[in-house]
Amino acid sequence: MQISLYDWNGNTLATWVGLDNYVDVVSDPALRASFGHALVLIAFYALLPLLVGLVLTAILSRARVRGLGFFRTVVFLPQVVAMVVIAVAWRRMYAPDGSVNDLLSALGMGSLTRGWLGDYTAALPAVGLIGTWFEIGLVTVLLLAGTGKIPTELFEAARLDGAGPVREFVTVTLPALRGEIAVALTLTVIAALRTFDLVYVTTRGGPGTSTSVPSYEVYNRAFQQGRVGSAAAIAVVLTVIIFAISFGITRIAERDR
Amino acid sequence: MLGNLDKWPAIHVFGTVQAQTTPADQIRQLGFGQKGGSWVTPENTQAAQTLVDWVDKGYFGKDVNGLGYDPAWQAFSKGTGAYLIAGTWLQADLGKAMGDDLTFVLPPKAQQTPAATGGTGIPWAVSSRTKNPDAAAAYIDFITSKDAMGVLAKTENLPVADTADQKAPSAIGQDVFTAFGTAVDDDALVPYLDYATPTMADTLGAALQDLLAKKATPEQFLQTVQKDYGDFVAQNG
Repeated sequence: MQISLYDWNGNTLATWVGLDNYVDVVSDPALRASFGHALVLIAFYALLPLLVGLVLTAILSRARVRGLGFFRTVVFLPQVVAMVVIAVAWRRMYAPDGSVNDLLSALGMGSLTRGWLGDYTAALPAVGLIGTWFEIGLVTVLLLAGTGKIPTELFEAARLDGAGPVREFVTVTLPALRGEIAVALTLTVIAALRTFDLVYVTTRGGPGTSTSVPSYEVYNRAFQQGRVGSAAAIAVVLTVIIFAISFGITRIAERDR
Repeated sequence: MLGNLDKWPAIHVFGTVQAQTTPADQIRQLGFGQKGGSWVTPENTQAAQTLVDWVDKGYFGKDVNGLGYDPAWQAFSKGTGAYLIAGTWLQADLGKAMGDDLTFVLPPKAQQTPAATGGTGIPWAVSSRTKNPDAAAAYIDFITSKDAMGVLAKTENLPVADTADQKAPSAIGQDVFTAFGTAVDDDALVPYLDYATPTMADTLGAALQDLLAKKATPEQFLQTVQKDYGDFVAQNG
């Protein structure tokens, strides 16, 4: 907090600049854009995995699937691998001659192939999809655990009343999962906002500044460019945003209970 | 060819092209972040335009910004592309992969003097506040000694002090040593452009990606870089 009010290069004497560093966060278009990118990442890290997780849960909770434990392990596996390893692997898959392009060509969609991480429109979604892949496991396992707690009588009652699979999911499963959804959202949104390693390894914020995110800016300014004050200001703003969003999620989840 | 996913590689390529169009003393002024220079000049515009032309002609290969630096030189070693603008740090790896098929040349002489982007490693200095200046000096003597240079040469690195005294372990190594000797004798080295300011590596790297992807015109590119340089010299010049 204190450092964020100074212009300090990390080494020599700092000068007091008051709120200038914070004004920069709002007025510098590149910095503002980096916060925008973080919001886009929330969609990929939190909303998309939640959607996929809910669908998977709906299917899995209805049918007594054989080998559920095995499936759970496979989906959860990305969570066990270090993010840097994941980033290196995906960077290779997204390369111009990588497996993503190979797959597209094999499916007859050769016109879509590109160097994904070097493309101005595709790079941010490409990075985001890595996050989606990463978080689906966490969300699904959380939701599956939640459905396990729901008393079977509720399902039976719904079925006796003639509810179809969709109706059953909406009236029985979804309300019972409110707590788990809130936890999943909180974890994944925070993960999205503090994304650093993924961007650092795959694109370094490029092409141009199209995948730059606040955490990457914090690192870059504090340890590469010697603008420690500005880095601290971004970090403080980011912390406040994370706090506000997770507070919001918990409030919404608890209000309707 | 060029793989510019990592942002910094294009800085070397631009530096090399710029050295053909722009007088060396101007480049040094910009590269060392000294007062009084300007990025927005006809010569630098021409350099930036050349880069864009090379993109159009396919000299860099497809997906310049999507290809990583390492995959690029690896592909080059397997026969992709005609030239690779890179540095002595690839001598060992490329030499191993390509053997006698590999040669190393300085950029052609465009003006009176040849000019090549380069630096001689980490700039060591002895702080005026140190308690042990002798130990620091002894260390600098040690890493620039003939023995140390011999180790560098043997491991396919470039011995920057008294290069002529060292024997290269391979043909490509000999190319590199000769080229460096020529560059030093002719005072041809111009600095890496990202030396200029603490933020220049990021500014220039991102701006060059924009330029190569045609998100920015050569003029806009130079304005972006000029702003970084201008802000810095205004405060520190």
